[in-house]
Amino acid sequence: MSITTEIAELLQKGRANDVKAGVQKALEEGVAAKTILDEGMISAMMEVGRKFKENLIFVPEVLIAARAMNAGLEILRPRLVEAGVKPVGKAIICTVKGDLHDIGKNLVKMMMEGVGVECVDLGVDIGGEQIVEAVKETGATVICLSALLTTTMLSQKEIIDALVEAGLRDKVKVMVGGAPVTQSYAEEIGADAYTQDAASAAETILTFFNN
Amino acid sequence: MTGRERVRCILNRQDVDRSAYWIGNPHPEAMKLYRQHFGCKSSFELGKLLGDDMVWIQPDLYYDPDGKPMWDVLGGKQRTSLGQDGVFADAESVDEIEAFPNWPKPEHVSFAAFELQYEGVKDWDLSLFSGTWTHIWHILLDFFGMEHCFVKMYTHPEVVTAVMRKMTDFYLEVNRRFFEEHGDKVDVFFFGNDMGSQLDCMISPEMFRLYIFPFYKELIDLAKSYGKKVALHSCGSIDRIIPDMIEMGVDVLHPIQAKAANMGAEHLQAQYGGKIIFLGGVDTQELLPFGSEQDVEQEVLRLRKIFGKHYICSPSHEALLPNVSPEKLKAMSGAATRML
Repeated sequence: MSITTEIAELLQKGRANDVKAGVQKALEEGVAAKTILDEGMISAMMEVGRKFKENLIFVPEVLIAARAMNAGLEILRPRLVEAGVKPVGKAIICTVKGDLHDIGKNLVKMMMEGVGVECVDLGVDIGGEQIVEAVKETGATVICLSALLTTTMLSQKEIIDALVEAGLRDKVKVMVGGAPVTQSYAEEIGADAYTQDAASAAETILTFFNN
Repeated sequence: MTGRERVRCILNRQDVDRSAYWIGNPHPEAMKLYRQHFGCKSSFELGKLLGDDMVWIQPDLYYDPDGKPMWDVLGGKQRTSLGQDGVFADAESVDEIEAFPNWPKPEHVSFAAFELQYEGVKDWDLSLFSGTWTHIWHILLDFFGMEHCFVKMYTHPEVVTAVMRKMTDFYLEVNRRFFEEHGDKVDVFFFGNDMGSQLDCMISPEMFRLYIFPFYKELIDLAKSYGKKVALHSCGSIDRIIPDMIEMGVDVLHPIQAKAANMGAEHLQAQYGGKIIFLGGVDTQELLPFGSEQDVEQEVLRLRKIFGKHYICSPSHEALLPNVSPEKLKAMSGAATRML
């Protein structure tokens, strides 16, 4: 078994210390940092995402895998910087105005980071003005908006309207999600994508960056 | 039939004139609208006006001499989000759990609020659901912060179990005191723990069985020892663990989040009809906020047809939000209480 396959298997099992040791070993053997990231980590997190989407594993198993990935990244990050490896893209993520429910949002963030996306997390209770400011500041090209309540999902539309008003709507893609949100609601408010679970969100965001 | 008689017949699977009804427990913002529209003072009065067969009273108020909350999960900090780190976020040993200075004391719990509320409804002859809310699963998550808790289930299982033990012992004692004092008034021990997301269980059924259900069983057994029926509240998609609830002795399942995966009425009735009573099911995610009055009426009648008379019709989340108009609340109530 190759060392990157070994890392991928340990990562899926959430064995943080072993992933760390595996990354160290791979670097010592001369495996490129980008190869370790792609073949040892991102591929493993995609597999974790697939299993989550198919209801084969649950949030705790995703979390321990993500935690193992972060442990490996501690060792790998300086070498990625040295090699000039950049994130696949940058996204802003938040829970919208009036809503403090951030568990789903955090899960989406974790999955997106797992596939190599840099996430700027604005936290909870975020309105249009803050999003507009953050887009200008960070240059993120995708915005992910979470809402849990039928009353707060309306804030997703207000944020899209604020982006239009600020002349930024064409520069960003907007993804929406949360328990009461549906595909038809996403279309109605002019969002670019709706996904029903965190793993699908991580798959969808990659299509925006690849384009 | 009085509400109490009707619900008792349903719980005991005896002949009954029709299914029962509960409007739920509207959010304070929604109550503002309903108070104005229906001219009633409280959610109890609103329920009575619209044909409720049951009433839910949360009996416990906590008075700490130093003003600490019952569950000091944030160590006195302000809550800023639901996934926030709790006081045990970094705990790695059972000793740290034992040494926590702010575990609540049963002697600081007062049932004065129960007595007051009960006075207001006792002559209405409704079925009384009560007992502490006992949301130990939520409090567990809050004590650590959800992400830390989920990780510790793998890395420090004994720490997670120690917190469950502490909370369960507290609630066992508080409920013992409550049933001793007021048990004769109560039909159903009603407790709540959200275990599902929109799509599935929050953690695997195996993890629930390992960490959570043994403690539920102790609480359920206590209620049964006082001759009470047991109702459990859980939002979300929990189809996979309904068999566990039935096995643990849960008699009534609330609120049946209709739009969550595998929580549709036909499926539930086909799988579990006759084994557990369903309380809820009128969708609050699309139907009640965004449907028409006719849609609401039709759906209530459809649910009554599927679940039959041994059913308590109610919203799929008890806290109706202000986007459910008084007219739709009236339409739901009318369809739910009509003799068919």
